[in-house]
Amino acid sequence: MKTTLGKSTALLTEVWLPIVALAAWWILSNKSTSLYFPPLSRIFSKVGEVVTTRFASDILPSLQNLGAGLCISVIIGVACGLLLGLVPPLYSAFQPLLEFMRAIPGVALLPIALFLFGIGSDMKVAIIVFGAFWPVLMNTIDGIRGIDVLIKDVSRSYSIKPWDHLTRIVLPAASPQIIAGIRISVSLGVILIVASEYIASTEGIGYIQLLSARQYQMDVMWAALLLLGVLGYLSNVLFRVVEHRLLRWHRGLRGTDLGGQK
Amino acid sequence: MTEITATRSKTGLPTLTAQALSKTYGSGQNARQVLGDISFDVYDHETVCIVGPSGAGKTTLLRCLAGLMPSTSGSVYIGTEKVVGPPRRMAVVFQDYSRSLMPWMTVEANVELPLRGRPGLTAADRRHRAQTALASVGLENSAKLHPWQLSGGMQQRVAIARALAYEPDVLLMDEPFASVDAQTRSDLEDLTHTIKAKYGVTILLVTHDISESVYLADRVIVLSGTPTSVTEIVPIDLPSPRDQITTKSTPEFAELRGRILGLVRRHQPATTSTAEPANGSLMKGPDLG
Ligand SMILES: Nc1ncnc2c1ncn2[C@@H]1O[C@H](COP(=O)(O)OP(=O)(O)OP(=O)(O)O)[C@@H](O)[C@H]1O
Ligand SMILES: [Mg+2]
Repeated sequence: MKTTLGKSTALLTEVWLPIVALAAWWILSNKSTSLYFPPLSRIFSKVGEVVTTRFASDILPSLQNLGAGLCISVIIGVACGLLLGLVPPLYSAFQPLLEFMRAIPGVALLPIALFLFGIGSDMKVAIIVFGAFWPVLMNTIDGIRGIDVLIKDVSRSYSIKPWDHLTRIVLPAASPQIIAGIRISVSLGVILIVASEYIASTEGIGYIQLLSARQYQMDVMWAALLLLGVLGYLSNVLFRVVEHRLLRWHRGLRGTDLGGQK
Repeated sequence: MTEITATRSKTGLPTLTAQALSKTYGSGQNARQVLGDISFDVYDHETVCIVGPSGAGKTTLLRCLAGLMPSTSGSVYIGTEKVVGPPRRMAVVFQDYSRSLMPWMTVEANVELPLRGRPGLTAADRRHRAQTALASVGLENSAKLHPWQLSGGMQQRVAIARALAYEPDVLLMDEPFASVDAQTRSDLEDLTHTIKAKYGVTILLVTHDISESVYLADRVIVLSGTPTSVTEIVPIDLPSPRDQITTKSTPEFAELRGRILGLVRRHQPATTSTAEPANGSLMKGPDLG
């Protein structure tokens, strides 16, 4: 009983402010005749319309591109991170180049990506990968380089097989940092997918936004904006669930570190 | 192979041999010799303790013996084989138990990990071996927990179980009981006697606690000086089985402890006029236990 009560209180503390904000928006905009700030009631009905009529044509492509871009980012980021983290000379050789390349904002690659991949999904996925794989890469390298020497001593003295060493020691040991990197990538990915849809695109939530703004359909523009917010929020929730499961040991460990270690 | 004959003794070939080991950290200006010319033998089924003050280089010596770090000169043999990397016949229990177990794995998985991929061992065999090892350290009911859910003493017992499941001929232990409370410590000392009797493993245990070394060992190797070298090897002829209360209250025990303390003290840099203040850690006296 106590835990369900605790959970509902936690939920309440999390949702009260958004509810109040929406209510305020609703009331303040109710009588609005401004072209740019239509009543929220109208925006909501447009959200329904956009979701029902343009799910397959625009929302799904956005989600697919985002998902593909993030998956590729994570795979490349972790794989390259492993290589660079485990082979120090390689890291020393690549570090200056990496620092330079990651300083380039992902969106700055739009022109070249347009040229190389055209205006289709490939271009959008490429933009996301280029912008979002850095945090995964850098955090993986940091995580691996930060592994306790004692853990490495244990692995060597017990002749742990290379595959077990990689999958059961190195990756889990670095996982808190890898996951922190992925979390940054997810938010970068959402930014980049929208940005890529603003440029020479024919589909996507960002495209709906741009098009409706051009046609002075501000209610649709706001509806797409709300959808983007919801999309970002849901991806974060999904991420938190995964993180919660994967890093249970890490929370437990920190719990005892703060508490009663002798 | 020819060198080793020199260390041959009446009791046969030693299980573990350290031959003129020395270790210098750094090079050039920053070179710092920690170990200087350390030689000793450990024979089959023996328990040998190495005592030396904090910072003497005990961990350094143990890492050289375990093949985790090359020595600057000299060599280590396990049987007649020269140690060039971590030998399969050796298992190590590290000083810092809270860092030597994998926190993302259960106790059971920690113990099984070194057995994975060993030829002729099925998953069921592994599990069985892990369970036996955990039972022999009294942790059969904690197999599904994570290390951080256990007390310090229990974590070190998991580390011991992991070493036992590995079925080594030689067990190296680096100050295994240094960071647990006194009661747990004496329990773990007795556990060491028990597993020794049960597994017949040869044990080389490093400690800075002189009482502990006398209580556990057949022989005590006393390290001191800068750079550290073997001052004396003291045979401990106390009868077995030993007991925390009766053994530790015999006059023989007190005499041996006093003798070793004297040996360690005599070579303390603090008592010599040439001691440098920078060597603060070396000045700390050993625990009286
Ligand atoms: N990797 C290293 N590089 C340089 N110096 C080191 C290194 N490891 C240890 N030392 C130095 O060597 C000396 C011996 O260290 P070591 O850890 O072997 O001592 P110890 O006897 O195990 O001490 P303790 O009882 O505190 O565990 C110390 O003065 C330490 O500063
Ligand atoms: Mg040490």
